[in-house]
Amino acid sequence: MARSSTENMITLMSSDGEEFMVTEKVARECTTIRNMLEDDCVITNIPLPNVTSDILSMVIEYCMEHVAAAEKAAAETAEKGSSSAPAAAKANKDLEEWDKAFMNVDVYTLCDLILAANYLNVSGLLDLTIQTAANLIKGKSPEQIRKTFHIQNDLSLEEEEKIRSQTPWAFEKSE
Amino acid sequence: MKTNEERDWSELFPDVLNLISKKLPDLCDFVRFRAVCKSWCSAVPISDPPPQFPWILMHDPSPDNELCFYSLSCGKVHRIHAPEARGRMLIGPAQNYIFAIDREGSSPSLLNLLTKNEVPLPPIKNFHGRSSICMAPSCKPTQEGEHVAIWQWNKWDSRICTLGLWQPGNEKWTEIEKYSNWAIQFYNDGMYYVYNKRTAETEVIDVRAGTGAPTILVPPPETEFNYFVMSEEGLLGIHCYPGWPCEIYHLVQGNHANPHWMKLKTIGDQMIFLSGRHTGFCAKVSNMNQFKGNCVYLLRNHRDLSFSLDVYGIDAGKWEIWPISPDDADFDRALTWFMPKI
Repeated sequence: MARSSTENMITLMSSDGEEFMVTEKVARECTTIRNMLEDDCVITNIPLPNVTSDILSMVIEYCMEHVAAAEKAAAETAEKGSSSAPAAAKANKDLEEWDKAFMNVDVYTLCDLILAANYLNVSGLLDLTIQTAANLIKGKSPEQIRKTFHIQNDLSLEEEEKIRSQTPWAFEKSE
Repeated sequence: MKTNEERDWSELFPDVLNLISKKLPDLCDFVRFRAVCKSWCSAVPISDPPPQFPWILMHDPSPDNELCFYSLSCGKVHRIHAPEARGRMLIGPAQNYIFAIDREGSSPSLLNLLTKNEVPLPPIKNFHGRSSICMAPSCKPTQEGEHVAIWQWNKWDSRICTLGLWQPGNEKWTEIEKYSNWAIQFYNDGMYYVYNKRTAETEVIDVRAGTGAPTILVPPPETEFNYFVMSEEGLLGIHCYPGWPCEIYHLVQGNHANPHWMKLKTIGDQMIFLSGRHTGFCAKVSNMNQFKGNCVYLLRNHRDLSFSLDVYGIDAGKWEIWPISPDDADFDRALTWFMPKI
């Protein structure tokens, strides 16, 4: 992607010491980083001790894609004076498809992405990841949910009975 | 580098778990979410479910005491064992509590079908069938100072309608009788609204005055109303016939000086739920991407014993039929809207 040479570059450092050079615009997609930049405008190197390199590279990939899509839409609007509705709808749909493909990950990676999106405060990515998690939960019994997410049932029989007895209808079979 | 074993879904932060639970639009999924493990249960209080899209109560209890609710948000039928509703007629639309009465008109009560709480009500004089009686959809028999309100039309003289008010502890209904031509009525928070179909005027009656005399008389709107609902802004009068543009008016009471009906172009992110009666309710359904706000959802039973859900988009000014999957063809009657609340 062609970039103007005057664009500020920021270095993000993952917990395992890997460095990622990104444009300030991409970094600003993370509200946590945006706040750091606003407090201290000369900062160029940001350590992120809570995010591993594999997850950080995914977060950056997500931010770059979304910044590029927004820039493309803005450029089209500027060119034609107004954005054409069908083109904008198609661009939205393409981005949705991209998001969907991006969410094709195992539940461990999904968990890490949720934690990273929450820590870095990337609202779009947080929304996307928690929606993906919710979709994996819908229509499943508690046992099926545990199996999906590899969760140990640490509820005692009494606790489980108490939860079920509050709303027995939710544990009867739906069709 | 972390190993897979270290990343544990049961150790997510409570606020993140809360966000996930808010993306489960069907109450059953929300309740099952809480039964997964300790941390998921404690992160998400049962009293704080996500905003719900109302269920459709399919019919009166089956011989084996089952109630069937169709949940549009998951496209499934929830069957709930409800022996307390055996042999009774259920009258909605309802939020929390539905009105239940024996076929002979005895033993009326309010039933919370999900928590099984039942509140017996005093007998109702001159009850003559489901089609003649309505209940204020927001009725909660437990709230201090709030009335349970029902109203019915007289069997022999359609000019007479009666509002009955009851509070826990009362032995009988406090009644207010009105003479008006097959009126459309509504009750909310101490105010009784009676729309006279002949004069098209609306009486607003403060029931605390106890006289039944109108506090305010609102001049006729530009159209005829067939529904009243309560919204965030106040009372809405609705002209709603499938196939025709739906018109919604807001009651502007001002300082009683110049009360009037004002036509609304939008109801924002609210939705209106109507069934084949003259009342319904409004709900705010933000964060539910599947369902659109600014719409009227009308449940209709047809003469051939089928039913449909017709949706009117206020922006588009168009009716559309909501697709209900063919698996549910054995449910030929839709009784009413039911807002599931625990």
